[in-house]
Amino acid sequence: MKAIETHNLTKTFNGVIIAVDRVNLSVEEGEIFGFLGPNGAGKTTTVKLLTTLLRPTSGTAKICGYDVVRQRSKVREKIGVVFQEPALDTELTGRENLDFHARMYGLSRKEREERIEYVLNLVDLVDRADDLVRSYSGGMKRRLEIARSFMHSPKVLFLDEPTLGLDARARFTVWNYIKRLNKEEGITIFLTTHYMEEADKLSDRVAIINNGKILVIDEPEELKNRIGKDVISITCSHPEKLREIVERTDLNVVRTTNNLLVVSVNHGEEKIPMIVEVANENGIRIESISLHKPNLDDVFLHYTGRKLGG
Amino acid sequence: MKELRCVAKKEIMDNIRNKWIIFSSGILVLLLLTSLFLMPSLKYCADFKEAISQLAKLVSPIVPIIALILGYASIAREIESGTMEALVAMPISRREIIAGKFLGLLAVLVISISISFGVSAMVIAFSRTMENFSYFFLFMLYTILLGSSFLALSFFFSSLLRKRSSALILAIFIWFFFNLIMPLIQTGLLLEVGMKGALAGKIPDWFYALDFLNPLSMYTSLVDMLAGSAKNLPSFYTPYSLVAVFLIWILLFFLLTVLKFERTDI
Ligand SMILES: Nc1ncnc2c1ncn2[C@@H]1O[C@H](COP(=O)(O)OP(=O)(O)O)[C@@H](O)[C@H]1O
Ligand SMILES: [Mg+2]
Repeated sequence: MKAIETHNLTKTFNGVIIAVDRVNLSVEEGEIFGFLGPNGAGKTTTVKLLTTLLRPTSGTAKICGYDVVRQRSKVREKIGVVFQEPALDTELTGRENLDFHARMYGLSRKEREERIEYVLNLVDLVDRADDLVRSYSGGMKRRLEIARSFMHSPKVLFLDEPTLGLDARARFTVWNYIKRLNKEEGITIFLTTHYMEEADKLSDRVAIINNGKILVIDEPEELKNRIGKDVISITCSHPEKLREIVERTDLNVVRTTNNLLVVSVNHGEEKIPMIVEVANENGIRIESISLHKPNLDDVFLHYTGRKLGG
Repeated sequence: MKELRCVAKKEIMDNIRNKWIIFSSGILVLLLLTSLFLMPSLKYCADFKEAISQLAKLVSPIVPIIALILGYASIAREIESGTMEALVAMPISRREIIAGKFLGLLAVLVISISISFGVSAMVIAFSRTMENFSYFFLFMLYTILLGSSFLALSFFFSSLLRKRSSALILAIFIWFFFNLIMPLIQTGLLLEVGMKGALAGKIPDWFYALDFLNPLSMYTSLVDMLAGSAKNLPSFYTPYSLVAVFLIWILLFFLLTVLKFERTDI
């Protein structure tokens, strides 16, 4: 059975904003599924549809075989959620937050105690468990929320931008916990993010979403291979002029913005001298030039014509 | 059901520690005691029933404040802080969430009023003879009804708003409306329309019916009836009908809150 399966899932707001547009997904059990897209792409709306907080305008979705509209309470028993916005009771301690959650899922006293210790250990929060959440750092709050979300041993875990607003180190720690959860508990994880690195590092498969539509779904490596070529980014004084010149050769210009020209090409390292040469001949001053293997940013650029972050 | 109890219990734990609730309950005790001992009009009240009628005037502005503090942001606060998202994703229906929260708040209100009245009753019992504790008990039940109706009202308005700050302004407005504006409107209407009847010594029936729209008027009437100081009332205006209307008030606003909350995008 599929952990998540949707068929033309659609959500419109006020009849005009199509936040999620005929999305078709199929997520296997035990998979970490990355949902990558810029702000406003429809990631949170998709999560809210799949976690029964919002009703779809049309289309269907099933979690572990249960319909998100007709079998809401069944779905809720199977899932754990970490929302984009923090949702902890800051006037309670970490342990009290977990305890309330466990009670709501009907865990017995003994189960609660065991499970709380276990999840606190898993996210390294045992020492601070009895402090008020108010005093936690952003990273600790996030870890507590993750711990809480799998208190009741859900089958599918939804993480909506789990590292949003965290510094590099805290982000790295959270990634480790996510991987560990997936490995040790075998939980299916549906993770949304607008950090391509996050999607790349964590996901078994990635769906790229933009304007509510899924553009492509595949393994991160496959996605990058699809573009195949190397990416050269050139910062220079007259990018449009350079573009015209470069387009006459066999180079494939992806786009230009402000003073940046992005070119995708095979054997990029061999093409750089040529670019520098033609730029010099035409009086174009090059400020910087860089070459990298394609990443998911480039994949996004390839499919949408714009950058993920911008 | 188990989840509902869980929500109710959490609501009680969250609110019983609320310093404003403790503070305003303390004020209530203080008012009850000082007035019973110090105010001359009460000290020399021929019987206790009469005293109750005076006490009600002191209680009636305070109890709505306790209820409003409890209810005004109970839903808006959780939506604002994000905890409502977590709650609605749990295996509990929205109806149960609202019922749990309301019952929890109601419990805190009942506890706060009972303790205030209980403490006062004990002190009074030690220091002066009180012939009729049952009157005092009824007085307390009426006060709980008053508080509950304001709680239901503020609970409903809390479901309309997403921000705590606007909920606070609305709560203050509610208090002024029922304490000051509504009585003014009622008196104005009586002067304007019902002057003739009033002059003839009989207040028209519709004027009594207007009371049903204001829990404070209903409360005052109930207590006056208890004290035996109410006279010439229309036949539909009895303790039973007033209590019934109170219950309708509470139920109505509770159901409106459920309806509203089930349609809210969290
Ligand atoms: N409750 C709502 N009412 C109206 N529009 C909304 C609502 N929630 C989201 N949207 C719109 O839907 C689109 C997708 O939003 P969202 O799912 O939050 O994107 P993401 O999480 O990918 O940043 C945006 O254009 C957003 O403005
Ligand atoms: Mg989002």
